[in-house]
Amino acid sequence: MPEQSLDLPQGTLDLLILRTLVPGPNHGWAISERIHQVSSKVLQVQQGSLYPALHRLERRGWIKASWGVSENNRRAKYYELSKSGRKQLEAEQGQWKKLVAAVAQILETA
Amino acid sequence: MLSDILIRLRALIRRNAVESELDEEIRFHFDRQVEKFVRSGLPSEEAHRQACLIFGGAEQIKQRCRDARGVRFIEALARDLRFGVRMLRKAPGFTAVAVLTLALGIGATATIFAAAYDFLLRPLPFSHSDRLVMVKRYDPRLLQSGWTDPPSFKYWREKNHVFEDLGAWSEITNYYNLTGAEGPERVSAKQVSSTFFQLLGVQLILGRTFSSAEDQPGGSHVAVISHSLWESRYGGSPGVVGKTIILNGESYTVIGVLPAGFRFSTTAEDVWTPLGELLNGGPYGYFLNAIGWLKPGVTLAQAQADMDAITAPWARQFPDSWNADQKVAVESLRDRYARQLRPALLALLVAAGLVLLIACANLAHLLLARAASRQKEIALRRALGASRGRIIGQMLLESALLAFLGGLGGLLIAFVSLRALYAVLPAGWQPITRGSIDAPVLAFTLAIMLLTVFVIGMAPAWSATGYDLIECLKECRRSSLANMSKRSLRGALIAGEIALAAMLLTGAALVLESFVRLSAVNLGFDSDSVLTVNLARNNWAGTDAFYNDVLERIAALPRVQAVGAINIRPLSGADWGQDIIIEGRPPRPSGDLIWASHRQVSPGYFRAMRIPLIDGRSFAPADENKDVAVISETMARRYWPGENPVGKRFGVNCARAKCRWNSIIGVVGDVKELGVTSEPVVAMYFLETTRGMTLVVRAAQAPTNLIADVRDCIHSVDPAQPIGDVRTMDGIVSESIAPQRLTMLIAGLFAALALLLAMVGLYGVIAYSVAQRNREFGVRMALGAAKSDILHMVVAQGFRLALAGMIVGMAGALALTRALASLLFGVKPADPLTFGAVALLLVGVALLACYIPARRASKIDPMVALRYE
Repeated sequence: MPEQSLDLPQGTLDLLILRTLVPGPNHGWAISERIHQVSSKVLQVQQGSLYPALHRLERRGWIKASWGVSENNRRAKYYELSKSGRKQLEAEQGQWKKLVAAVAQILETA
Repeated sequence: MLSDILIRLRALIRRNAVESELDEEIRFHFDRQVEKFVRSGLPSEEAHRQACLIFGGAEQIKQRCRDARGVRFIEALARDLRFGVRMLRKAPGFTAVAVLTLALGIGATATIFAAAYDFLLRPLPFSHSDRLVMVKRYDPRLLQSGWTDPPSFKYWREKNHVFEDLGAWSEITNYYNLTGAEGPERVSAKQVSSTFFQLLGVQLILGRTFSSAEDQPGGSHVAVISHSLWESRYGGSPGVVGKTIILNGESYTVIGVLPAGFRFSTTAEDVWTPLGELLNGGPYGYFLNAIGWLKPGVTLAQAQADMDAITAPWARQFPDSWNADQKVAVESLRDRYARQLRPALLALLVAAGLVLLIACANLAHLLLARAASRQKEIALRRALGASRGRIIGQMLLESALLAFLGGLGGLLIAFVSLRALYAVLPAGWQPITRGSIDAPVLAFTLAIMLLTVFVIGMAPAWSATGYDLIECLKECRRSSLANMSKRSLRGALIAGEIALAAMLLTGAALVLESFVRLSAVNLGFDSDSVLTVNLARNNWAGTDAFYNDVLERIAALPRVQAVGAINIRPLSGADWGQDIIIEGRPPRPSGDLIWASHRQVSPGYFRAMRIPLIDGRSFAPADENKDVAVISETMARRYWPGENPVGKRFGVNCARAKCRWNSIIGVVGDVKELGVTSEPVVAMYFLETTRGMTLVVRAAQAPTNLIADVRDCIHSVDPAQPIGDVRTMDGIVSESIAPQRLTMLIAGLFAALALLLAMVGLYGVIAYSVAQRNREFGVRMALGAAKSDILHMVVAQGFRLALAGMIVGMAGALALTRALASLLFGVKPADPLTFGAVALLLVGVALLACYIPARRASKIDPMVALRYE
């Protein structure tokens, strides 16, 4: 049974995907599983969002796709962070932190 | 950026590979999900079910991935295109009719545009051609005006403030006898000022152009030759510069060779020589054309104002040569080539546009009918989620396909008909630069194609999608009420078509009538069975003896009825005249000259041309060297009104030289020397010969059969005499009205096309409505309506449309034909007879177009019709 989980806020999926790919190339299934686990099973990426996002990121040149063999010996499409993707991640991370801090500040003081 | 384009391109080109990769990727994810559930303890079937639940529709995910590839628009377009092609191929008859209709409309418009572009817009083949103008001197007394005399030209050149420089060329094209080691050859030559070639910006391929020293007396024996003469006669040898050539027995030094294809007149000259001392001639010799190169930024109006300002003191200074009512006009150089044809070209362009409009209206209503029959398909697609915009787009794409095919066909038609047009046009009427179906024409065609798409596609697309979806799905049947409004839209389209056709027909009928009248104009001579031969002697000596001898020998030929000679034959485009005074009249105020065209003829000329003798007698051989003259009827009427001029005397050229008094021995009929539409000239004929004469030979029949004999006669007198243009007078007359004939033919063709299209449209609408109303007719007949009742009903329906269209069209024609006035001859723009005839023709043809479907309607078997639904 799927666990109780939160929907992702708009626009954060790209950031999460890019961040998940920092350790190394991975395929779509692993990306979604990793986001699920690292977020302590709070965030659940829907396939219907994940794959269009991967294809979009690939088109923008932030990730590169190649076919490899998965841990269970099947052909799988692996995505890898590109140089420009790394830069994009840094920029988005910085913005995200600023946004979170600002929202937190408003929530606490206002 | 690059990765973006590459991925999009790959998605388009290797669509299947990309799709199967996507399949595999999604499949992999799904399988891992199932695995995970199995690992967590679910039975395999339940795991599969759960994974499916989480996944939702795999197809939707894939669709979103495809969207993420960013090629959805192109893919949709490609799909619509495939669909459109399939729809058109499913209805080959409809497609063929539609494409042919559009091709005719677009082809007609593109052809006329291409011709109009060549004549009116294509840059002249000279540098800064937009700044080249003609400076003309207009004298109301001179019929062929525009020419100026050397003193005026020099004065303009010196005093103006608006031109970089002025150049001049002599209107008369000389025909020289070019002799030498290469053999004798007859060449055409023009005399120009030294500035002429510099003004045109011509870059010679060899040598130089004339220098200002060569404008002076004694400097004129140099020549620039054309590229074609250089190649044909001198083998393209660079040694030709500095070579001496013999023109009419005088030697000239070749100083330059013009580039290939250089033309200043529509027929290219072979040799160019400087005007030399002619440029220093006195007043009264009006033979120069002036060309000016405007300073940068100077407009035509400014140039005109400056010329007006400097002309006024000049006229005061030389009252003899400048009459008070003389004017200088600055005109664009393009007018030299296109002026006479401009109104016809513009009218034909409008006519072609009307044909295209009619073709579009026809197609729009065909598409409307098709859209009506596709209503169910469209309703279904909308019910399945297609937006209105998407369906309109798709239907417009189908129209675009038709327009594209029609445009291609039209270009093909234009390509062929433009060639045919230029092939039919006589040499003298060709445009100075002739393009083909090139960039401007293609751009124009593309523009009218796009316009066509909207004109033919928007109405059907709009009407096919604008209705209540549910209503239509429920009862979208062939006889639905929704068709009523569409039927009236189609009716309006057809009435509009008929109106346009009526306008075109009226215009064409007026042009046709003008041409008929033009052809029937009495030119003052009988052109039938007359051969003309152009001859030019090398020099003045012995011309009398030569021509008399030649004429005598030709007269002795069998099958020759009469023969004569004249210095300037009618319809040659040239004129030469002198001022005269009339004996016994008080001197006219200074500067108020009487101008008469000077014609030098042989005794047999009037008889050979069948110019009637009105009074007195014609020349006899005994009149040679006597001061006698024959005058034209107009001259007699104008200067001896109410008197018999025979026996009276007039003096020629008395202002400048010792007066030569001539007795009038006869009066002959007027001749329209300058063209069918011009007034006859005031002409005085003298029994003289000159260097260049045109022989006119009246044959018993078939004048061209005489050519060899006439040639032999000439060569028996002088074997070295080159023979110039040999033409029939009929051919000359016919060529003089060639543009009018061509305009008439094209306008007639367009009108016929418009009539055909409009009638096909009318027929189509009536036939379609008959097919729609089959059941209604069946009911009517079952209830007792006679066949003739049905026939009347259907014909009346069509006739109402035709009548409405005709009335609107006639009103439109009344307004439009006024603009045709300059093209008409002898007929008024609102000629009631023409309008009546067009109305009758339209009514007749419209009745026929309605009768055929009406007959079919009246033959319906009520039983079959009622069972059909």
